Amino acid sequence: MSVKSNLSKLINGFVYRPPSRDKDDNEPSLQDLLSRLNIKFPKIPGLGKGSPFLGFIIMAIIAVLWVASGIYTVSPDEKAVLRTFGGYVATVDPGLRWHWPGPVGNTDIVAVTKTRRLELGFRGSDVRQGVFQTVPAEANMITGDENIVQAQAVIQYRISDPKAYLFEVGDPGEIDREINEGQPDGKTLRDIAETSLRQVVGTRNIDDILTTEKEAVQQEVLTIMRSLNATYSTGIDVQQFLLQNVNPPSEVQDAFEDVVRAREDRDRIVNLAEAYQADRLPRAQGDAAKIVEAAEAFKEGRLQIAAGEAAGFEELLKAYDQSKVVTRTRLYLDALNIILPKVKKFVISDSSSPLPLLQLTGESEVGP
Amino acid sequence: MRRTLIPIAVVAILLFVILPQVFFVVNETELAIVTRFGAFQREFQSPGLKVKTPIVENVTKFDKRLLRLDAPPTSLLTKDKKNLVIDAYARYKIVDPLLFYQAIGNELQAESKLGDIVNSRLRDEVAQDEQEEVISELREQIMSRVTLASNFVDISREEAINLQNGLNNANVKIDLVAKSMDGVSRQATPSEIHTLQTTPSPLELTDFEIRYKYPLREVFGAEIIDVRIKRADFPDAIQSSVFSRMQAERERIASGLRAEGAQRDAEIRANVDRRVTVLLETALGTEARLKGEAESESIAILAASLNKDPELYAFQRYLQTYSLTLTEGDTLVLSADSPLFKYLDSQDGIEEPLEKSEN
Repeated sequence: MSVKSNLSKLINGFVYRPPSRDKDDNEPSLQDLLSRLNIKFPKIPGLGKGSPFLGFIIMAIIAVLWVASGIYTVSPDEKAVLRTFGGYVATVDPGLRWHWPGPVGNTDIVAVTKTRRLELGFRGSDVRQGVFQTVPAEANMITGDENIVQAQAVIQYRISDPKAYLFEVGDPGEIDREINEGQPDGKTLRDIAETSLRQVVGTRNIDDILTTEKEAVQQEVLTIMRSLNATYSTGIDVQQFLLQNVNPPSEVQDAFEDVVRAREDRDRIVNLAEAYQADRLPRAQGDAAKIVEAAEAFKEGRLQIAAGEAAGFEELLKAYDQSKVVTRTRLYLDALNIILPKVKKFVISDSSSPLPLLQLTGESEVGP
Repeated sequence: MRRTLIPIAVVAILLFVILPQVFFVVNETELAIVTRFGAFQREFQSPGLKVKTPIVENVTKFDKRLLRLDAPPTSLLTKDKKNLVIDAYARYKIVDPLLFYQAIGNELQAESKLGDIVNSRLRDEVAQDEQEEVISELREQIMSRVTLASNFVDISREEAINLQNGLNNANVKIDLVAKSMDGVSRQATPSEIHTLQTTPSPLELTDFEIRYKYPLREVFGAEIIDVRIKRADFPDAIQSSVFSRMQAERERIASGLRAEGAQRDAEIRANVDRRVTVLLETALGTEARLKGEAESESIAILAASLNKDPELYAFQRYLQTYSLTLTEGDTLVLSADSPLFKYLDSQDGIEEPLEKSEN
């Protein structure tokens, strides 16, 4: 190993080189592969090239494979509808099954427990999240009072009778919903939903539809849809008809909102008035009670005073009856004892006594 | 190699060339008719594996299922001369494949031929009702009348007479439509039918337009199962006037609501004020009554006691009054003869007890 070759190895290790074309020559050609495979075929005696038995064996294998292709499974949520030579034979339950494969037999597997949905008046995944597109031709409709309302709905349904579903109704299908020709939940169910909803909306006022009667509308549409599905024997069981957005058309949206505002204004004013009532009445009742109670108190007090006074007088009378003179004198003098100290007193003698005028005050001098 | 291919080739020819010429499958959803050089041979209403003569016989298949006719929206005039854009659909079934084949051809052509019939019946029926009725309460009825009418086609008197049994053919329906009142029709009575057999327009039926009808299924081999109005909308041209009417209506409702608010407000407040006033006045009235009662009752109580000795009461009250009225600084002039000084000037005051002298 020379230093130079070591160096070139080192360079080869680090520098990218495109793979050289020479290597293709080493790959085996198709011819080679085939010849190699031919070698591996076992030689069966009596089945050499050109024997008629080989033809039968090939056909037998094809026949076996064909028969085996009739094996199918039905999942728990499905049912299989079997036909032999075009004629209905049976509807079978879940499990591992076999039925004649085409062109003799047909096996149609239909999911029966799955709830499917149909959108009316819009297309999109979720109305509530706003990911949808309105279809005005489907959504706009006339109400009974000749107004226009925009309604969107979701229909939930199930295939209840797979046989009827497959064979009774011709339908163009809806490609964007992956519904094939002949499946009645395509155009047929949409037709049924549209005619039912418009029929029901046509009998009601716009205000009822927008507010109180949504539930009733849903129920009524459901009833009509069910009876139409029965008439057409679509094999579809409509489970729910759910109104989503029900709005006045955008052209008159403002006017409708103003009605809502007006209703709120009215309620607010009435509430304020009721608040006034709630404030004023109890206060007035309180004031009135106060007046009456005060009067009662006055009366009670008066009666107590009167009773007290009467009792006092009776007591006095009792004492007085026992010793009239003494009591009188005592009362008289008691009163004078209170009065006389406060007043200036002059005593006049009528009978021109030596004491014609006597001033009986503390400060004044005794007169002559 | 050739010997291997022979059995395969035989089977393949059998399977793919001869069998399809002899056997054919009628599906669950199909009806089939077999023709020999265009001449009808037989029909198959039930599904299964069927046999035919190879090459000379031909099979034509029809859809047995409930089929859809979707007429494009058309502007129809109602009785009150208003336009409504009506989008209807119909459902029909092929019941007689041969007749259907002869009269219509195939399902695609049925779309226009049966569609025309349904549309004209719809036009007739809508013209008999007011716009309001079409929109609301009569829609269900209109739809069932259209369904019924669509199952009959108009034929001429000659055609009717040329039928087996002529006018007495059970399928022929003779409608008499009154010329005077619009749209009122009735079926001809047996005696009228008898007259019509000979006279095209009898004198007694001059007030009526006579219409001969024959079932659709006998003519086209198809039956209209249901006709339904999908949409009934105002024409685009008047949509804006509908919107302005809606707007005006909403404005009326809004102002009505606001006025109602003002009314309720005034009512409630006035009522409250009235009740407050009444409450206070009543209380004042009660107060006056109670005060009066207080006076009268206390007087009664006192009087009962005081009347036992009015003189003592007077004496006592006089004394009280003196002591209350004579206040500080007043001047009192007393007579020397006053009983107050009775003892002040007497000599015998000490000896004589007061009590005795009073007695």
